[in-house]
Amino acid sequence: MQIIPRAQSGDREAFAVLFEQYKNLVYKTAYLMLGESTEAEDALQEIFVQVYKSLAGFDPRKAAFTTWLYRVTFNHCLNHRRKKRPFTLPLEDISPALKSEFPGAQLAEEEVLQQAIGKLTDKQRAVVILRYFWDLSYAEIAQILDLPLGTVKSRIDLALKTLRKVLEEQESGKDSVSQMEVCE
Amino acid sequence: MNCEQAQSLLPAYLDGEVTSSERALILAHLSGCTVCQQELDLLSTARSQIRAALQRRAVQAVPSREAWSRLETRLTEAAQPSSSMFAAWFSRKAPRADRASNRFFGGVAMQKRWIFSALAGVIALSVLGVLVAQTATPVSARQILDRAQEAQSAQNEGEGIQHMRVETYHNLCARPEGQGTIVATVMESYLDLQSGYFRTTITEAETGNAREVFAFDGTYTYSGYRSVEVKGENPEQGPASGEKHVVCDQPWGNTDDLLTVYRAPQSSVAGVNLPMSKGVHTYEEIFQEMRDNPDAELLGEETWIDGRAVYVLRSHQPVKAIVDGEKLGPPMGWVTSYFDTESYKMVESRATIERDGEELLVYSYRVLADEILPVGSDVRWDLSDLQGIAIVDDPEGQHADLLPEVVSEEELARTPSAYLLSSIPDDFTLEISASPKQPVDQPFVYVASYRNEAGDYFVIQSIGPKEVKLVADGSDETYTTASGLTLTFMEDVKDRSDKLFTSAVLETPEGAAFILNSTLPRDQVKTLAEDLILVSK
Repeated sequence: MQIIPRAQSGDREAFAVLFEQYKNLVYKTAYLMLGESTEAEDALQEIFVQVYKSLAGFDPRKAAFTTWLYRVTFNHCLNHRRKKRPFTLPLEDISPALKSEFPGAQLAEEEVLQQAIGKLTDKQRAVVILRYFWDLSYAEIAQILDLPLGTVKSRIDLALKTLRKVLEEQESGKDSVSQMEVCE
Repeated sequence: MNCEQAQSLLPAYLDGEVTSSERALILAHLSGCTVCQQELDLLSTARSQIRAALQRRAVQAVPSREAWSRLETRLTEAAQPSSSMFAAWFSRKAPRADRASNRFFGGVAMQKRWIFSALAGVIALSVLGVLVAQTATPVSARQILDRAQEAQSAQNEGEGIQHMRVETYHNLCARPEGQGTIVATVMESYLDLQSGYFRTTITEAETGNAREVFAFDGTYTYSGYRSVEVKGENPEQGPASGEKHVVCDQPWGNTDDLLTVYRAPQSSVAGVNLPMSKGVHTYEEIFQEMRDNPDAELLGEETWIDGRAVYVLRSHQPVKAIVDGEKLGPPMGWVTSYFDTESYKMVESRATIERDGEELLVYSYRVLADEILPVGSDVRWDLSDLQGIAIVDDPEGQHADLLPEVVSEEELARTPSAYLLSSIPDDFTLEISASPKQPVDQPFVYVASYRNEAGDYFVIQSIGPKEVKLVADGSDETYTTASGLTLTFMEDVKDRSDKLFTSAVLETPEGAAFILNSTLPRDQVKTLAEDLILVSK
């Protein structure tokens, strides 16, 4: 018997296997959405309690399990973010590991990138994570977020152009610094 | 294709999400446009950088080692028997019962507008019986919804006059302000808990003009509603407004002419419950949709408009609205509902959808009064204080909506295909109710309700054969009595006090169909079913 039907019938061991299989999907998504490991850890708990309670109602004929799980995850994260107004993402500082990996100018670039992601709205960030982290198609994203395909396209368009603008500004800033250095 | 059009498609082009014709147009444009080529390069770089940045950010993001053990504790708590089990059961069964009661009171003489049903009383009582009062602080949306179900199903008993005032707003076609039909009403209801007299009026919020009225003063019923002329190609796609449907550009409200109210003699009524709401989207529908949504979440506590504390729940779900060109069903939207933290009753619900980047209010529902007035409060049951109506006598009840009345066993025996227990069980009483003036060429529709003081009941309700397939869906056992009655049982459910609830569809050899509802165990229901006899003469 497959894991999901077993878990649906209340088999706790099967649910443990399910958790093991999908915890990273939920945790990484929550981490990218919420920006802090403590919040991602709490979200992981809340989301799997939610899954446990409503798994019986999951209908595999209507959607793939991962689609359903993504939906529960994003609903939770978006609601959580909505409650934590204003809508600025409290991204954690660049981790020590990244600091060692990106010394000097590269680290500054990485910070700009992370801040650029933090500047996206929650809804834009959701589509960006699904598209560029989880590599899902627009149609899959539309199904997960219950959006028309056109809305997914427009959100990705807006998000990518916002990110491009931030990176472009960073690039022009770097140019002006090097010019100053040349002048000196 | 110009630069603006090309650039709007570039992200999708990079993602391989454009059609072949779009792709050809983009390539053709890019071949001669250095500006767009540069934009494409920048977007491509941004895309790669973002992809890499997300990967780097998440690479070390892993759950703690204690995640499962923490979760396991939470799951054990969540697995404790709770009313949510019954909630799931109820949500599966209630729609069937609702349809049955609609048929009972709608298809025969009630013209489908009001559900004052004895069966609804049965369902409400069963909810009361099952849901054990809980006093702990709620920790989840599901528990709040369960308690709200309990609170809202509770029937007021004792003395006094139940009074409700509800304000509704419906932006039928989810259009920006001033661009579509808005149905805004105020419903005011009074029910004398002892005499059963009641009065419900629906008026236009803006003008105060009456749209629908329904009342019973012990001698007459009063009923009248304003029909809406329908224009448009697919009115059936829209939400209902009374008997008719309203489409997006249909004018609504600001009616000046008097509302005709038919007054028909009626000396007694059986099993009257005050409706919670009426209009394009009922209270029950709104509440059940949120209850049926597993993703409903608790946002927290807030202070409501009148100063009391409320829980705020939110769910993402289909919202009833006609969206132009939308052929795929209702649009998804956010429904936010507010529940009194003391009584758990839903005091407000509002739904919004996003269109063209704008958040639009589709409907709102507010309970502005829900109280018990003292005995003797001045309520004009005969509508004599109501402006804008013209009362017309209808002595034969040809136009009026008549309420179900108590009928005797002898009266029931004069109708075809009527079944009752051969004798009333010890400690039980029997009440039979039926709508008056039922058409002779259709099956006679009635409810026979056996009850005892302990709160147990055995209720048999006649329905039409067409309903059987609908109701029998989800059955788990078929049982045939010695006399050839076939019972198709629904799945049994126990609550935390281990009490069992039983319901079944019953079919007779003559082709008549009934619904059985009982607080008694299935075996006892089978035993009682063996005792059912055809009483028609």
